[in-house]
Amino acid sequence: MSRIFRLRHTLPARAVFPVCLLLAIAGLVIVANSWAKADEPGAHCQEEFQAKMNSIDPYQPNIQVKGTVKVFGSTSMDAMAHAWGATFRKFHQNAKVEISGAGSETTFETLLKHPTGVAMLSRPVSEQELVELQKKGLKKPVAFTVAREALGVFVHPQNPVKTISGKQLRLVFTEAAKGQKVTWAMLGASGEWANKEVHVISRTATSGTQRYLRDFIFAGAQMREGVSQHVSNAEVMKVIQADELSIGICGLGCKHDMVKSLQLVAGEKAIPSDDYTILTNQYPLTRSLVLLIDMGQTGVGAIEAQEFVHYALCRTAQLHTVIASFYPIDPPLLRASLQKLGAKQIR
Amino acid sequence: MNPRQKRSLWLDSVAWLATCASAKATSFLLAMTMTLWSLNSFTLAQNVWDVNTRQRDTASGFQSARLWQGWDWLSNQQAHPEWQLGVETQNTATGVYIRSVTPGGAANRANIEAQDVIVAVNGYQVGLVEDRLYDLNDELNARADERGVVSLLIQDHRSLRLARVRVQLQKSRQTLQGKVVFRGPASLPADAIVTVQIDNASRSYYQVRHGQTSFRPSSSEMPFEIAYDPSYIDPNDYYQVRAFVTQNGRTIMDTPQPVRVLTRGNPSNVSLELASFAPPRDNRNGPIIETGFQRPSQVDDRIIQMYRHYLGHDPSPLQFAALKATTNIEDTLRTLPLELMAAQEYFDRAGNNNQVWIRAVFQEIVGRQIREQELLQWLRRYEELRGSRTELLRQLSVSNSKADR
Repeated sequence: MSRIFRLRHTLPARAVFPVCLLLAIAGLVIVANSWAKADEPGAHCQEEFQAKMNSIDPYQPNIQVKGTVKVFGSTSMDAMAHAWGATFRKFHQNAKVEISGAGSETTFETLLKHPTGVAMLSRPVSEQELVELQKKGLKKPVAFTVAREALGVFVHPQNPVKTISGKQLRLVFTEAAKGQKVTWAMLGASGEWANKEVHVISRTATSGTQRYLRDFIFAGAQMREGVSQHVSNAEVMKVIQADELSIGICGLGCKHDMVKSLQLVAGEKAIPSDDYTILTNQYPLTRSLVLLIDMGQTGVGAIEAQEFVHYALCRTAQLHTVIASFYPIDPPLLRASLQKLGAKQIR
Repeated sequence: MNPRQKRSLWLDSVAWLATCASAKATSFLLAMTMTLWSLNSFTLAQNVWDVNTRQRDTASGFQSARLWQGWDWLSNQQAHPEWQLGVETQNTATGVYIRSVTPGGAANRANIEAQDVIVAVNGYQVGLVEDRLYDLNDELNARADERGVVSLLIQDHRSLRLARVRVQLQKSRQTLQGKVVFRGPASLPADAIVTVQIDNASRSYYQVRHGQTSFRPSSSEMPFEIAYDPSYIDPNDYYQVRAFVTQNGRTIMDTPQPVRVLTRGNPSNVSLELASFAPPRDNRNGPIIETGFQRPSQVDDRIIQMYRHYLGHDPSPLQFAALKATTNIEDTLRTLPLELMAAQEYFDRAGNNNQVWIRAVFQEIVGRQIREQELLQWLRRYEELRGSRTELLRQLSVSNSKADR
């Protein structure tokens, strides 16, 4: 108080207002600057990414592949597998990588027909499925997580809700609260929004995303049918963009300015859906993309298929996961996979 | 305190208990039981995402725990691969099993023997932890102090007791040293990052493990040392080293002429001079750094243009970084349009419908509308290719380039 008092008495009375105004403007500029820096898109994310990539080993072939590696399965992994195939051939010039993307549903059948092939699945594989595959004739089927896809929970931009917890997610997207009307109050909205009904927009029941949610996120619970079902992420986003009361789960790659993605509450913290939180494994809603091979097979074809999986776990292939709108897996998990594969690890 | 560190405190207390107990077998069993119990209790405590997602996740048979591994991983980022223990190892769920010890090496000097098990480095567990592998080498380099001293928790294979051993690690001898020289009117921006990288000049796809170092600019002459992995060096190949400076993800300076190093009689100590990175011809009024304005390079422009054209938005900073980190950017840019058109996002934008998608990509590649007969032909081909969008695009672009000729 005394300092301000002295300032008032040392400055001419007319100068006090302009000086205060200048100080206020300078303060605002400093605050705005620091906010702008903090929000600079991906400023620290790129460094994290580089550091992560540097900690993944570059590829060094164990064998020289000369035959054909058959890769089949998930259509959403098709572009990524092609990029892997093209770069894999830089190391194995006589090799051929044949990729077909008939969808995850027929993958097991194809693998049973071609046990030396590489199956792609855009979801995790359960142990039970592995046991069944073994009963049907495979010797030692093993799945390797090679990339991750992040899923986002989207609402209309006007929606006042900012976060959602796991419990709330279950309440909205499954039939956990049977017969109960789900309102936005249950997600923390107040005022005029509190009594409004939540419109669940979902993908069709046969879509990979919907099945992943049912089997792996909600542990087999019955999914809420929702207001409408759609064949693609783009359609779900269009509906959310138009309907103020809607909510839906889609691949995070579809995120744009006309919809809002909710932060996920984990423990005490709300985690935003951005590249940084996903890259650093804080973001909880991701699904694994998997390569499945029969490690019990012998012969050149089987070893060559294993070499392709080995390549998928190395640096260049992990770079291509990002270009294909997915995320790399974290180095400790990746190294455990390499060890399972028996790939040469130089230390 | 991160989860693995917490766990290691338990391990330390277990070690103390086990050492106090005199019966060897009992102590070992007690230690293992308590370790498993403590791991389990902490895993439960850390179930941060309250949806029940912790069911068995992948066919790997490992349990998927959605824990905050990220922070743990971040703590490893300063790892500098210059320290070695001198052991050949095998990773197990109880730690890193030592298969053999290099005579005269750091482990040998610290009386570590083959068949011993390294449980933790400076309190951090190593080996297979849940479904993840925490590499001994990485932990040694992340945890060692500046003199290369670490404290290892080791289970002695004779007494089965756990003991804490201080080890002076040995320095990896295969290093590439030199200095990065910057001669400019102003100094480099403080928030820039200088990267020095060894490349295989004969076969660019063969990257060198640990063949890169990054640091903040300090003076006009900056010494560097790259402790590369020699097993990634082929004596028949040529290697070169280059330096570049990035700021906010954009390259602002580089070495116009990389220097040959390491093999075929080339040196292991070099001096690299920095120059402005490919300044555009129409903007040569002054050095880019002085103005504080970084004009995007032509490569950046091309990437942005392609993303806007095919997907209707800019690439994310992460995608941008990934594209620029590929070994051969020209090659990547050549195939990028096909990759983008094959992407699920493009397919969704085209209405998630095969016919509409083929119409759209035909228009893009051939430059005219597809005729009905052609559409039927390409739809048949798409079925033959069992829905491989990238393969169809490749065939479409090949047939188009043949028609052009």
